[in-house]
Amino acid sequence: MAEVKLRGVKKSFDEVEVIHGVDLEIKDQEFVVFVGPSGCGKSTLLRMIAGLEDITAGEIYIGDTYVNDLHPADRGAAMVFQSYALYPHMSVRENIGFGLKLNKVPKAEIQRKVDEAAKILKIEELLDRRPAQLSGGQRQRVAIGRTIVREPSVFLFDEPLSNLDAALRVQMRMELEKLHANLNTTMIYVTHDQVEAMTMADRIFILNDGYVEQVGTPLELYRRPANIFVAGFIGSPKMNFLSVKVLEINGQQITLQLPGEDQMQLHRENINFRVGDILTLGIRPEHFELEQSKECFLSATVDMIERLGNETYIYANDASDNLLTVVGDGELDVSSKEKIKIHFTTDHCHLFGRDDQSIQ
Amino acid sequence: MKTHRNTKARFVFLLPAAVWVLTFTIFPLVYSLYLSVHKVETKMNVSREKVPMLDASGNPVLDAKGNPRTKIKINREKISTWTNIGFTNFKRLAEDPQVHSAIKVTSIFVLVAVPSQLVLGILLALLFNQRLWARSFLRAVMLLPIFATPLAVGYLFFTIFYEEGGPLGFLGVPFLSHPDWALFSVILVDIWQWTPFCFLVFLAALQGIPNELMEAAKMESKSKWGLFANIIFPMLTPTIVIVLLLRLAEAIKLFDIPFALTGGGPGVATQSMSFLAFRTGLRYFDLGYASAMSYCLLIIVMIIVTLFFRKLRQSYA
Repeated sequence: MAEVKLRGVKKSFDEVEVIHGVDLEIKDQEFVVFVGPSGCGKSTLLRMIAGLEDITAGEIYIGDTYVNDLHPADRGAAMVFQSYALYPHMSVRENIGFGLKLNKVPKAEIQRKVDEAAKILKIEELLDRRPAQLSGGQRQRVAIGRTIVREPSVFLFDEPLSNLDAALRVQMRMELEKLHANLNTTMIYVTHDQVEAMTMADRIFILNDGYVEQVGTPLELYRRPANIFVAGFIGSPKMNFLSVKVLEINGQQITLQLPGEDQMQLHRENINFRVGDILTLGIRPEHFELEQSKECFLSATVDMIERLGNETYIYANDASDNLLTVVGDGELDVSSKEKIKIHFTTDHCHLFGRDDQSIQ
Repeated sequence: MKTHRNTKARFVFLLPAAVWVLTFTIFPLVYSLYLSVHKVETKMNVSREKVPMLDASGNPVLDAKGNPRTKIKINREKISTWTNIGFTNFKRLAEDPQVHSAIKVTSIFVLVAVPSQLVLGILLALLFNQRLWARSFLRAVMLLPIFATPLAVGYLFFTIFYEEGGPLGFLGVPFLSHPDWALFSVILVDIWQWTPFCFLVFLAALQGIPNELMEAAKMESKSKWGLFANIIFPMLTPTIVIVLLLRLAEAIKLFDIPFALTGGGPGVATQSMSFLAFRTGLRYFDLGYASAMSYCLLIIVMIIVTLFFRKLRQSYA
């Protein structure tokens, strides 16, 4: 159990800087998810905490220990890899107990700890098998078992579920959450899958191009994205973005020209733009409605419809030919090429300035 | 009918390979077995006789006095006698001090050279598997000995070990003139030539170990020896067995390096089994005895190879 602190951490591969001065603090017993698109530096950051990558600049603390120069085995961190990284020539029991054996823990204690971990992970009957004889989900459990027995102060997960099929992924996700609840240990989890991030995290760190874009609880990120990147990354289907022109600023009341004929009014406190500026309006697909009940509307032509049973995705082009996504209920009566009016309320609108930052 | 034609066609296609195997493998094998139970004596009867000299049209050539001129004709008659002597050649093998000495030389050579090559190969592969200054250049240099002809290597080292005026002459070591040193020199040259091969194969095997596996192990222990003994070595084992097998089979047949470097000497200090068989057969023309020696060598190699293949199959299973 420990907190993890990063101060101005940078990483360069040769001349190319991939992590540009990251500061972050992870609380004790917190389940934190690093999420971002491929190449954003999330795995590199995790590997730096683990000690598998050198740190170009900055400081990393696990608990109160400055770990920059510590060997990976001495940092009190244990890691689960994407490929599971099980030792193929050892049985499951030997795999789980390997670290303890090398660190000269007495045999009886190894046996006890391995049995305990196997019980938690429900893999007792697999202990004498080799990794090649296990399914993907079972291998993943063994990999987790290997970290549990070491009783680390921080668990590190590097995209551990991405090699599993969809159903198993959901199941393992829940088991990892339970595991976190049982072990009460700090966990750092890296994924590119925002669903995993949203469902598991106490707090999410969104990374992009080696910068932390925003930190917050899943709902904070969903409700108040700090910029266009976060707004577009969190939520599925992706948020819709429209270019809108500022027509009038009256104190904190602004009037915007929507694509098509409608106008809308928004209340914002930080007015850092002028009349005539083009801003970006973001509305989530689930906040669009086809009933004529809301304050604002957009005229659009339906391009394509995807029916998922419980809900319907409608893809439609607005007056400026932006492709909009609308999530409606499963029974929605709509057909292709139909002209529709998409309604929404100002409560659900996100406004972004020319610097892509959210305007509050 | 169609099936029948197919069978014929198959036979036709198999024929070249079958002929090849029969000609170059089975026939020599059977022939040498046949030789090995015979005493083969090859002699040449040489006789001279005077015969008249004839000109182009076939008439005798006359000298100044009118007598026919004569010339001396040499008649060579090759007589090869094959006597079936049963297993006498094999019995001779058991009692022949030359054979005992050759077996000793070959054994020492194999037991020292092969493990050295393997150990050095693994150590170098471990070294080159890390980030290293000028790695690709050094690796290319390391591999050069593989491309040299063993016979040429033997002559090359003959000049290097040359005791008077050679580049190592200042050491005052009797590289080629002292029996023990001569065997040591042969071993040294073989190690020089074959370590790069072991190194290359082990390096490929090391690079085949997934990186995440090594990282997972690194996160569990900082003992480098622990990682080597528990992860790297077990994962290299199948490769080690194959390399060991190849090197053993090759080393037991040791011939070209002593042939070029020491000529088997001083005395018989570096006369290996193959070398002795070569001398017996193609220098002293005792073909039957040489065949018996070769057969013994073949059986020894086959026993070793079979044992190792069994071991290899176990380690894969």
